[in-house]
Amino acid sequence: MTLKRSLQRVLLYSAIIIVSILITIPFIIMLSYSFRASHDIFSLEIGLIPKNPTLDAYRNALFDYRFSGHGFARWSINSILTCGIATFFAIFFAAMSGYAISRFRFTGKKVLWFLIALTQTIPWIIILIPYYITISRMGLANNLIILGMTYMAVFLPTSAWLFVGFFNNIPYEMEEAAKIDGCSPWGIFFRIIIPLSATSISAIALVAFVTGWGDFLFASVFLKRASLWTLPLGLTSFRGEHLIQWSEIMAMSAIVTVPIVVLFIYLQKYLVDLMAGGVKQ
Amino acid sequence: MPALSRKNRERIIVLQFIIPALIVIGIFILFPISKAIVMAFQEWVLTSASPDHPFVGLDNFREVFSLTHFSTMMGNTLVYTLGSVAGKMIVGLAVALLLNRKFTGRGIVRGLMLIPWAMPMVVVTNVFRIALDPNYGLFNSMLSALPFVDGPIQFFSNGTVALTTLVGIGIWKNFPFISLMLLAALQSVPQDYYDAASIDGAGNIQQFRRITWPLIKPIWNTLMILQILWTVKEFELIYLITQGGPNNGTNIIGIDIYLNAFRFYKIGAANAEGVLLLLFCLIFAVIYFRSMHKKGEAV
Repeated sequence: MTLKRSLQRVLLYSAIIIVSILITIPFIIMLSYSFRASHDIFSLEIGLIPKNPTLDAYRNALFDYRFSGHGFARWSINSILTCGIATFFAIFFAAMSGYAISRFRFTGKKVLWFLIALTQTIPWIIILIPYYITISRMGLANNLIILGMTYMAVFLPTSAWLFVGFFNNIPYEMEEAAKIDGCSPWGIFFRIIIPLSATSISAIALVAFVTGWGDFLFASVFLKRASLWTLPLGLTSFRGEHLIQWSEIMAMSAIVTVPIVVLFIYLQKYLVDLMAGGVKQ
Repeated sequence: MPALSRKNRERIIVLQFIIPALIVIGIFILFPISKAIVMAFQEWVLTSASPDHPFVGLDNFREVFSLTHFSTMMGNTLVYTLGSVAGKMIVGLAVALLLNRKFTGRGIVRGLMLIPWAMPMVVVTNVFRIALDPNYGLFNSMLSALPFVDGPIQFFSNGTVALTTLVGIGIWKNFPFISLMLLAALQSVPQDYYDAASIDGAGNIQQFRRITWPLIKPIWNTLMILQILWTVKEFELIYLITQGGPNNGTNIIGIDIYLNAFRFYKIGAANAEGVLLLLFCLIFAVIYFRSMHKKGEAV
């Protein structure tokens, strides 16, 4: 019996180790390349741990790399501003509509709910074509404000969907008490609901922000000028070279990825609860 | 001004809460969708000077069906979606069951699961492009060290191999999400059920079939519908690695729409394909919405 038990343990732990390696290996490969000099890359005798680790690639990616005169600094400012402002408005509007769906009875609620569910399932590529034709006729292509507004529309339905699931799980008593004290619905929303859900709101905001942070589809169609590029476009710009600067790409990728991974791990409990709440609906 | 009735006052408050969302969804989503559907039935030649676009009936759809790569593309879409969704769901469940057991370091492994989910697609595609490169790829060199692998593998030069590789990458990127969702469901199953079953002498497999599976099945179904919807429109993963090549071997419908619209300027054909994809998604969206309602929770 004990032999069988310890054998089971061995099997369990080997399975866990294999799964852990499979999950993390691309991330580790990214880091591994980012600490190399360019000439250390082009051979099949390459090992996972760099022989002469160096931060050169990070320096190049951050300060030296230019595409049509623009580089990391410009693209990260574009990305942060566009996604940040879009996230702020999307989250605000999504929280309002999510709260209404969760708490009020009104005609057309089912329609609104179906609309939100539907817009989550719509392939964005379908919207992109008429959208692009319209904005380019209006002379609004190559415009970060338009891209930001588009991101806001993309983030809103998913966020609203998560908010509905989240608000449904908040007990109603506290609002009831506030209502009796004569608090208006807006007062309840701003003074009770929002402060109460700060961490979950930041988790929903993170999901929205990351959608834009990694977006290539919309950005590639909207932004033709390198001065307006966001980071994902910058990350695909290295390709024109005869010899791809892989260590620089991986260094820039690491800078783009690591903060997001850290935030995801930090907020993991809230993220998983929110998503599970959404799926369960 | 007469005082508003209670009912009307309530209506106005609800409207205040939902109006921004309604406006955004209307302008940025509903309007473009309706325009895309109309455009699928119009002539769109970007080079022609005439600003009006006459209706041409089903011509755009005929053009799509007569594309030489149409059947390849649809086949790829089917294979990619089925393979990817099946892989994600099965691996996702297996890993969820694994992580549901008690072991030291469980919190750490669960934290690691967030890495694929958090990595932006642009980064993922870049990493796999270099790691799988036959001349200097790190992953390829590790594989070549295995006893049964004969030299570096050409991952992206043959259509079938490339499509299989992309399915694999898609599974890697998405199964942790499935696992975490299923794990959340698994952990809400009361331990008493298993204890009682053990006393009655039920083995592991029987416990899974009789207790675990019936309890997580509704969430599994919802996740699967969502995955089908998200996978069939895959774009960035494939476009950033193979752009649909070699020789249309990895061309699926999302890629074809993008290429037709923004590379070949066949706007009409691209929109016709878009409408086909939209129809497919609508069918699943209705199934999804119904399953949401049947459970009678939410709204």
